[in-house]
Amino acid sequence: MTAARRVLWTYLLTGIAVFTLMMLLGIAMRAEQARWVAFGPQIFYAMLTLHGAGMITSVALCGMGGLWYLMRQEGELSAGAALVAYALVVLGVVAVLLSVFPGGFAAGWTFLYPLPFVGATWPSWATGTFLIGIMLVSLGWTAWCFQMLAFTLTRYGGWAGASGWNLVFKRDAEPHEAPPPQSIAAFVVAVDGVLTGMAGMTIGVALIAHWLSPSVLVDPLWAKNVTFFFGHAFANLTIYMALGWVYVGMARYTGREYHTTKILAIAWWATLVFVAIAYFHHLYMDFVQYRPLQYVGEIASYLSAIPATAVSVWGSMLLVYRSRMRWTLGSIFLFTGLVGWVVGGIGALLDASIPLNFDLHNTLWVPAHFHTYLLGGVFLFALGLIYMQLEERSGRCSPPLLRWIIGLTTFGGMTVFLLGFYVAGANGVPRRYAIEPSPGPLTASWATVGALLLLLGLIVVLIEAIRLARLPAQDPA
Amino acid sequence: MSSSRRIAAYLIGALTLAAALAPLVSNEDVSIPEHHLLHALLLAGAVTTALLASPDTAGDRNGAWLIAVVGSPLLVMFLMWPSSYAYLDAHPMAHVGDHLSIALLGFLCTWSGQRYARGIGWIGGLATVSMAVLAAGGFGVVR
Amino acid sequence: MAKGPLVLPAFLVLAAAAMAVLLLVALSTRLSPLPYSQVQPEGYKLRRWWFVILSLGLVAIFAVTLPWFPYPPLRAAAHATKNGTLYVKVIAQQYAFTTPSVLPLDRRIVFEVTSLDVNHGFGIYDPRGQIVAQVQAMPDYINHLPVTFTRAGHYTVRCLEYCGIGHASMQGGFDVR
Ligand code: HEM
Ligand SMILES: [Cu+2]
Repeated sequence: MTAARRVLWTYLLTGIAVFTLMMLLGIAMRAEQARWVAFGPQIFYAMLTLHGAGMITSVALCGMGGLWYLMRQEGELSAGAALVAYALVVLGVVAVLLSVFPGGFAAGWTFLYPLPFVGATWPSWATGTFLIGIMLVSLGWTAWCFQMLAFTLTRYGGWAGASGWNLVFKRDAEPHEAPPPQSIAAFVVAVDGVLTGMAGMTIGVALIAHWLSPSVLVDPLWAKNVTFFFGHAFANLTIYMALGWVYVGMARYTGREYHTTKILAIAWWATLVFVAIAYFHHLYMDFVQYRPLQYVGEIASYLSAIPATAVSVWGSMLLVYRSRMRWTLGSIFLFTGLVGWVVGGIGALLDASIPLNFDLHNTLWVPAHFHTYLLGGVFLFALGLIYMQLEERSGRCSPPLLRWIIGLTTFGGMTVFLLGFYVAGANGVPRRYAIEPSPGPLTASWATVGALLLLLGLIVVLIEAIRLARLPAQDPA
Repeated sequence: MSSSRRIAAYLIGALTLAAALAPLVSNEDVSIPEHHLLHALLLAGAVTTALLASPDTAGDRNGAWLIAVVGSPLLVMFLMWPSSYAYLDAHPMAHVGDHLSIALLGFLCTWSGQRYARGIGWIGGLATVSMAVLAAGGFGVVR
Repeated sequence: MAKGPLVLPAFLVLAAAAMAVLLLVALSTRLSPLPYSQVQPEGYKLRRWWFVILSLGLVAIFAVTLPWFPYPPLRAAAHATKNGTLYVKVIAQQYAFTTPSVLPLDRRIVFEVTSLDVNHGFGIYDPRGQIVAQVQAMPDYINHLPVTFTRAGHYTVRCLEYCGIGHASMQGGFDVR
């Protein structure tokens, strides 16, 4: 295995391992909400905290590894630097894990000030360990972003080259060629990523300071803004990282070429801005927030649909339309990931409408839509990447019957699981309730069945992946 | 390095050092946010100095530099511990020490960034300054 | 008032439409393949329409729905003297709400919501169990939530921001008559 592949698989396998653990926690939580099991709120909220932090980190790891690998094919990248970032993130994950089990930290992965410190049922060291863990994750993330930034800036001729500015305004920038779509994605993610990393460190240190000396007080509204800026953008960027290989994969499976166009570059500039300012929608129900920011939040959330659908989804659809698409598990996962992304986006747009948010804010509608594009989108993109690698390496793909089995269990289970969230959310069942009011327990029951079906499907996916991985490599690459 | 750039580096470096020594001559009471913002200014000086003084090489892409790039701003935030400000206002020498460390870390972040890859230094430096400005929004409030 | 139940059908319709489009695109690979040089220009032409319709549509929705935004007027003080608005203090605290137990029907009420400890959410559910209004309860801040109840009966208050282990049991309520 080449060094580049080793980096890729280190990231991917760690991501998938963390994902698997977190999925089991997710099922346990849903079963508790269905009242099939009773761990009690203490354990429920510890699981919720770990699941949120762990899942986002798991897909981020997949995204970081995948996009790094794509960039590695565009030029010289140091595996050492990628592993520095990896080590920091993994150390962070271990700290978060320890803070929750056995520590019992349960203030939610959003650790909204001052909750980690007030009414805690866990020891103080757990709070500190959790915060340090989050800090390490953002350090590793920021280091990764700096590496991507350095790469794209030097490879494509500075800001004007890497952002696509030269391309859009037809400025000849010899000797640098225009960046391919995945490089534009890497550049935009890196810029926004440095911003999120900064915010993460600022709020992290503020909370650690309060932890060590409680006389340091923090403004709760400021804390909310900074925390959600960090959390929202970090979660959001996992999708945009994955798009890098969706572009590449779609082009490979359809045998068509996908180039950077002016429109694509401009769309990514828009995305860069929207990712940074859409987070205001998390504060819609904070009426004291400076009012114009509420409007900015709604408009930015709305408009982010334009680059997403008109460029990334549209471009992928054009690649596929009446092409010689090879429908293997790899391409199926990439394509259905698009479906999850769009459908989750529709749920998000509804929730981003302030009059509707008044009824939906912090109901199960929120996990409904973000699970649709994180589980049904980013995670499927990650599976797509894994299968794409395995299929290319072995030159084989999975038999049709298996594709049907996996399709029915995975997507069927996922749909049932997600519908449980949507129906309950529309009926006002709050999110983050260990014990839900009606119709919560009912919808949680079928959601749990759906999640178990999904688990079954994913076990088949795993076994099939192992089978493909053990086939001899087609060429010595 | 051109001589005008060298002169600018010395000049801004000297100004930054002088600013760091400010507590020796004046100990006006400033609010916590104002204090954060003054530190941001100090950082801006250190970052600019580092940009001017750093070698004009392309950078060696050694991942170790990145640890300094992301670690320094984090440490800077710790040196901006709001409840220490009252103590620092009463102890000028400690205050100067705090300032020098902040400036040094701002310099280190930027310098390491430039050594990693040219063009990264100012981004790291700007990020550090922005964090100090962001902190003024609510890191340390008096009730 | 409660728009939740309307959201689900709207979502399902839109989601079904999006899925149908993507499915058709997927199924098109069963037809005889076309060269990309033929697909692309057509697709880009169509995309221009999508761009225009979506952009205008989204901005229009924003503008048209502005009257339904739940925010109180910015100059609340000037408003206070008008038409006998009733100001009601709400205090949230782990894990209970302090509110009056009876509130008037058909009268403009402004809830002044705050918290003594962590962030909470002040979510009002009508007698049928639907959310009709909510606002965050934040320490150090007071949020003003204007509501006019048009239905008599018992309203339940639930916490709508995670506030600790007792979050799910944090409930209150009042009668409107
Ligand atoms: C694999 C199947 C999954 C199951 C069964 C599952 C289950 C759950 C459940 C039951 C909740 C709590 C909902 C509530 O009452 O508020 C939850 C929350 C959450 N999940 Fe998942 N989930 C899954 C996948 C994912 C994925 C793939 C991601 C992200 C990549 C994710 C991220 C989150 C986050 C961020 C929260 C919010 C945590 C919080 O409220 O603090 N989940 N999940
Ligand atoms: Cu609560």
